[in-house]
Amino acid sequence: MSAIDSGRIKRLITLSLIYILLSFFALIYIYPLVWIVFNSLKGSAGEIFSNPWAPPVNPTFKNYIDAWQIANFGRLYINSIIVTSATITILVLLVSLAGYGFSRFRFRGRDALFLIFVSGYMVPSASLVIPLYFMMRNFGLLNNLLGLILAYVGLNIPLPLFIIRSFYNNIPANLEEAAIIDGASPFTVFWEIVFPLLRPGIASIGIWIALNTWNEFLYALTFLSSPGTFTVPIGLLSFFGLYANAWGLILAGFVIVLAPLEIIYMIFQKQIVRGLTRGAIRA
Amino acid sequence: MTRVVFKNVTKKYGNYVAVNNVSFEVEHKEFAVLLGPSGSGKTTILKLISGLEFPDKGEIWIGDRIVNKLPPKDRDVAMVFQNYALYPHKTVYENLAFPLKIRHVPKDEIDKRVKSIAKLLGIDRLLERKPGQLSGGEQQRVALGRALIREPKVWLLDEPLSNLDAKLRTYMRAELKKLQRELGITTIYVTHDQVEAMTLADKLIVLNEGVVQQIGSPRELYEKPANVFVATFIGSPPMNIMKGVVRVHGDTISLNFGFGIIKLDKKYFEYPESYDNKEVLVGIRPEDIKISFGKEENSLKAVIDIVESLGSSSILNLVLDKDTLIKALCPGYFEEKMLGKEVYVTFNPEKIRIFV
Repeated sequence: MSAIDSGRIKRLITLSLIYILLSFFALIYIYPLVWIVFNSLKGSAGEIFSNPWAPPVNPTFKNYIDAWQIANFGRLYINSIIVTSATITILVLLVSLAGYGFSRFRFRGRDALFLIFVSGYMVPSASLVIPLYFMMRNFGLLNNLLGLILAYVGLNIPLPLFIIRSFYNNIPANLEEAAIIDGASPFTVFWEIVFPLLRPGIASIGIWIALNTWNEFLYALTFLSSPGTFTVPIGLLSFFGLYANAWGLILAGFVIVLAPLEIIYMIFQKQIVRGLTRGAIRA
Repeated sequence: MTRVVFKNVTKKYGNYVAVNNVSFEVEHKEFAVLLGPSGSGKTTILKLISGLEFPDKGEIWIGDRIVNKLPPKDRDVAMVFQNYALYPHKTVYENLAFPLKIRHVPKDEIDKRVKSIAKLLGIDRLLERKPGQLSGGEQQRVALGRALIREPKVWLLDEPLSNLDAKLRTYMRAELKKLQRELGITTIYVTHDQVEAMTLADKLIVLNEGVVQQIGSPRELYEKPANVFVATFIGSPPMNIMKGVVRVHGDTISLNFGFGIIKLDKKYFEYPESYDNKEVLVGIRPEDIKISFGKEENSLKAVIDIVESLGSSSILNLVLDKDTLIKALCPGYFEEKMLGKEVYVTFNPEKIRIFV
């Protein structure tokens, strides 16, 4: 056997082992989702518990219809869309401007200030629930979507700011200088020259913020008390009883909550990874 | 008429003085070159003229206006950056059109001028491409086009040829000079390459550490450098510099190098009495040194150390003594077997420079 042949065989074996390993991990991640979907399509709790690992014999969407109506998912979706889109809009605006300042302006304490903002990422969000609760109560922001939006904005500043600043660092300063000499106003420089180059970064952080905000449960549960203000993750609580749980409805509820974000992530995963890693590598 | 005048301009960044009391004038339609090593203040001066920076002291005039505090858009200058600074997300057409678009020039006028400048620079077939799809030379032409399309009063170029390969650089140098002459724009060009400076400049301004060393035509700076920095910065190979002591004897001057003495007529030097009996630095360009194999009048003994053949000429590295090495540029080809050979060097007295 020639050296070329044995090299080729080695590569084939290595590649096969890698694929087997990746398939194994993919199975571990994907199967729970598949399990949820299978059991959400079963007509009764008896069918779920008799054989939880098997696909449905007679799949039905009854659980989805009932879950939607009982939890009033229509209202919950509207609230979640309002909270998520407002959080994205405010955060993108804030970090775009703050990132520009941290990248382009030199002032005393700039790096220390940036570090303070970014190190917030290390603080577990659960540790902030109690102090935030008292602050919101004092400001009359409890049981209010605006209060939740402000909490989410504060919570999600660190990583987007870090990524956007590194995107700015990759835009050569003399692009802006050229535009200034060409006669552009500061707004035109930002809008026509800088912002289009930031778009990939903004898309990445937008999707990341959406993922974090849509699925957020603890803050929503703590700061919202009336059903009219609940977001989608809270809706799942409707199916948990004091003495018994409606598992078919719970599982259908999971799919209703998770589906939109999973679909968005699957469509945009390349951009997300590219945006996050590009920002990180060049930081 | 657009002159650019710098009067005693100083620019500091904290404690660092980037431009130190600089004064010069660039006449209407003149091609002035700012030449100096990295960190000499050339790009800072360009930024001061363009309005990207403001001076701490002094006056900057463009035409008949002081522009010290004027923003860039009101100075009517255009700049080409070292890395071209083309907008990567815009097509060539949009890059060229941008300066006119933000000045609200009508669309059909923009179209006419873009196509005209593109044709002049030979980039008319590239208008729909983006900068990332262009070669270095093509990008450079787009950058030139964007700077020219506004018909500015002053053209600022910050080492625009430095990213091109040697052959393209030589070609573009000639094209640039031709273009500037045809358009008649007052131009200030920055470079650290003395060959570029010598070939392009009507007026050469040499800078070092933020201070002007000498201003003049390339020929003046080459033949009569004001100091050792200019003497050794301009010319390739650079001017040879040797330490010597001057003695004036009536109508002759003797230069005592320690390893040898040469005697010259006083008429070749200005105010020689002012450095009588003083240690000076003596400069002589490699092409002004004559090599002979026999001793001649006023010659110094040397040994050939290295021969660098350039084809039609050779650079000889000569050892005069253990501390003194000079280079001589000689016509013709010198063989390897010349290494170590003893020769005699004679300096052209008209070309000897003395630096105190």
